[in-house]
Amino acid sequence: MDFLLNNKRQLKKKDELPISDSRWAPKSKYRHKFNPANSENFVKINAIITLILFLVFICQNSFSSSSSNVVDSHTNEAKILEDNEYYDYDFKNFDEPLVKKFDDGAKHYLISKYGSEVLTPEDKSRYEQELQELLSTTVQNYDLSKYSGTENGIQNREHVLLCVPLRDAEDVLPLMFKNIMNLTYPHELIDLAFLVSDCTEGDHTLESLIAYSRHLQDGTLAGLFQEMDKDDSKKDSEKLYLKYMNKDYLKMVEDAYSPPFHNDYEKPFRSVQIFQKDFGQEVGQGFTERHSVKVQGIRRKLMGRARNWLMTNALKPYHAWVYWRDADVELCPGTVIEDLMSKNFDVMVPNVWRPLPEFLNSEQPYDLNSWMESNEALKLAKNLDEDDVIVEGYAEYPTWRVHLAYIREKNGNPNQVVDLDGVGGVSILVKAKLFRSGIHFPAFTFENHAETEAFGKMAKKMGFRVGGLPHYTLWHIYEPSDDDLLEIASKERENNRS
Amino acid sequence: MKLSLVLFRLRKSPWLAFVFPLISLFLVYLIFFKEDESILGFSGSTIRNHKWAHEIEGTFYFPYSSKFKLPKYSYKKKFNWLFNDRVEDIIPEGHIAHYDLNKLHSTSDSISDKEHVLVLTPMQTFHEKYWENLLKLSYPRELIELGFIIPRSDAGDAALKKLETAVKNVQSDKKNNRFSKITILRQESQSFDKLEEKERHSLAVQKERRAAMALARNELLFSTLGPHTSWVLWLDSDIVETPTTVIESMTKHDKPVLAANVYQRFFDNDKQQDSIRPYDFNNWAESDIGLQLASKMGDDEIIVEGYAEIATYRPLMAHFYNPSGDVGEEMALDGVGGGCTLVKAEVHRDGAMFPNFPFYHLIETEGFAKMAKRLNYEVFGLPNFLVYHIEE
Repeated sequence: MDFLLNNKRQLKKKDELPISDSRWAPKSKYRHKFNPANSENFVKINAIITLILFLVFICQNSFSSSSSNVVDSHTNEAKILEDNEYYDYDFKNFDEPLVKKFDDGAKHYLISKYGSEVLTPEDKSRYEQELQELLSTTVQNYDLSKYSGTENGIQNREHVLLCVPLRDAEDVLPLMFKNIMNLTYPHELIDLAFLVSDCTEGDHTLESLIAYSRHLQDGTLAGLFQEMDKDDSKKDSEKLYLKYMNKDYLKMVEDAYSPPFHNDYEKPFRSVQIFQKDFGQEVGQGFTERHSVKVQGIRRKLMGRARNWLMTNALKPYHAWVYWRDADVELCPGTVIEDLMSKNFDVMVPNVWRPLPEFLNSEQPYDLNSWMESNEALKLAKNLDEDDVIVEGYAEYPTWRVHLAYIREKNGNPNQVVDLDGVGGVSILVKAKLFRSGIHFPAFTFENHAETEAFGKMAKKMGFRVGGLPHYTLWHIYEPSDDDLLEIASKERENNRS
Repeated sequence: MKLSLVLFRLRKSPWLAFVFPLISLFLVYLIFFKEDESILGFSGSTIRNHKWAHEIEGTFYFPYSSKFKLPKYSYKKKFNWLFNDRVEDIIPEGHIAHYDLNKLHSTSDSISDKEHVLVLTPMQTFHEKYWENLLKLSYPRELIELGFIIPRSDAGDAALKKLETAVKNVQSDKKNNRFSKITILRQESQSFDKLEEKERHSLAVQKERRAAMALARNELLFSTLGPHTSWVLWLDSDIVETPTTVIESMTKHDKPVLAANVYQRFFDNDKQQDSIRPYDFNNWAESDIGLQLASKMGDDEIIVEGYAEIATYRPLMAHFYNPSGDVGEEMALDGVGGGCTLVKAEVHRDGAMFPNFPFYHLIETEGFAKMAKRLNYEVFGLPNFLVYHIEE
């Protein structure tokens, strides 16, 4: 057996010629199966594929929007913001390589750069400058009397802090941003501050707020809203109550939100600060739930707490004014900040009404928290518990106060001012020095009031002037209550029958 | 000719035949599968690198982002982007910053939890010993922020000069020795002018003086409190001696408002030796007689401690010092002074401030304690934990 096998092997060997490695020697056909080194095309194709992928990789990294370190050619299309106010106070750019040189201490830098501690005058002044640059990164000096707030804020380049407390507000965010962009007060003087608190499960207020803010600061938010509105035009048909609203009012809304807008509509703001804090608030945000009298006291105190958190975190020493704004205002003049400022009061509020379906009279005063104190109310307060909160608009507390909302005349002079004691929170312009004096939105019962009304009382107590404009109206959105919805449903049934 | 030869050799070499497929596979992975954006190692804390919820868990999708990626406006970049990582931390991209305040805590383990402490000092005169004491504190300096407010007066100008020199020296020191941030403010409201000890303490001017102090404290507080602060330590400018571990010792008790006992060193002429005596009588617990007195007063009147004219019989923490007692012993209080008081930042954020008007017949720091109690926070003191006021 072995003999046979060996023979076969020997025979095989004998049959084959000695193999040479020369290129021109004939090879067995199986040798071509796979020899990458010899296959030129293979290598060429691979090289080209690799090159293409490499280029794709580079492109992706340089043009991806998340990279903050973008190649300069990209920003050529964007307009560079030149106004000084974008880069003042705590947004001052500093020379990082220079600051890094001081990491081992000033003496070390002095000796290593200048050679000795005794300097020539030019060297000394240069060193002083560099030292100043270093100090400005951690030391800030402010003279608070410079940020007092005058009636001519635009001319005096006064910084305004715009505060908006938010809760479950995902649907009204586009409305809010459109109103914010509509403000004509120079955007480089406005700092935006939002507080998102206690949102329900599945609500995306925070994420959409961040998304909208990024677009706002890029200047692309208006375009984005136009796209969104085109998509949403079919949603309006779901809002049945629009059929029953006053046609003139609806026309006003439509005109207000169609272009052209003012020149700086899309200009970015000086800064956007988004705070997130949950207070464990249990009350729902639906209209009926949040307006029942029993929960008002608790709700107002919690709202006061939210406002205080927002203010304490966002207020900087260089702010001259603070403008508090609710997210759900539908119609508001773009010049509202200048208008409220021009009266030179310390606290100023406009009138706030809301539209209603025509079968309910078309309109109604909305904010009853702006009022002038009355003797009956003071007497009522004396008989109440320390923790009882008087809320306006409920039969349980007959205060007989004069409300700003009720003294409105449709064609009255929008510049007329009245003195108030309590203010509502929809739109308040306050001089920042009030907050610096300690006036805030009490989260406890202060003189039987809480939140914005107690704020007004505290301001008056400390000698500041609180005023309101009865004929300057802002329109709040209309959210149908359960009763209204039932009414509309029954009307629909009638119409369908006939 | 030579080039084609080189290329030929390259093509023939067995290495490249394997290397190119490997590289292209790697690039395919990078392009399509790598989620992490920080290729070069820059992981900024700004919103530009924010991870949308849908990227993490597939829940929220913002459908319009892709169409509007190219910005219409952009902020100036002063210096080369390669070195901007520290600037990025201070000035966020697009000037948008997001703070999750739910993650901000004030716990008893403040150092290991890296909690920021804001030390606030209304400064009328600059005392060298105060500054030396401050520099001796053992709490990590990168977690300490300082805030000073100086009145608009000549005395204030002098104090400001000395303070600025001292600040310059420490902030141009080595990076590890610098405080995280120092804010120096010039008061807007009118300060109280009579400064000599005897006049300062006469009863009639107390209300005016303390109202002015309250305004100064509020201006300082609301201008410096920020989203990173966990604790606020009120330290008067004339407290010249504290234990070096004062901050961590006081935060260990984890109380919303905690006041140390302020004493004063002096040379006792009778006994011919150094001794100590109580100084701050504003730390007290309420008494029935005090409440009775309050109910009989007019709305505009205030009660102040330490005067024979108003006998409140309140237990004053100053008198509860026990030299052999436990340093960590706590005492429940209703009123506190501002000498050395540690407050959790959330108490201030909820709105507790220093009223400059009669608030439950109390004013300034005592009114603050009452306000904190109205907000349902507990106020405590440490009777055996001494800090020393300057000798006058």
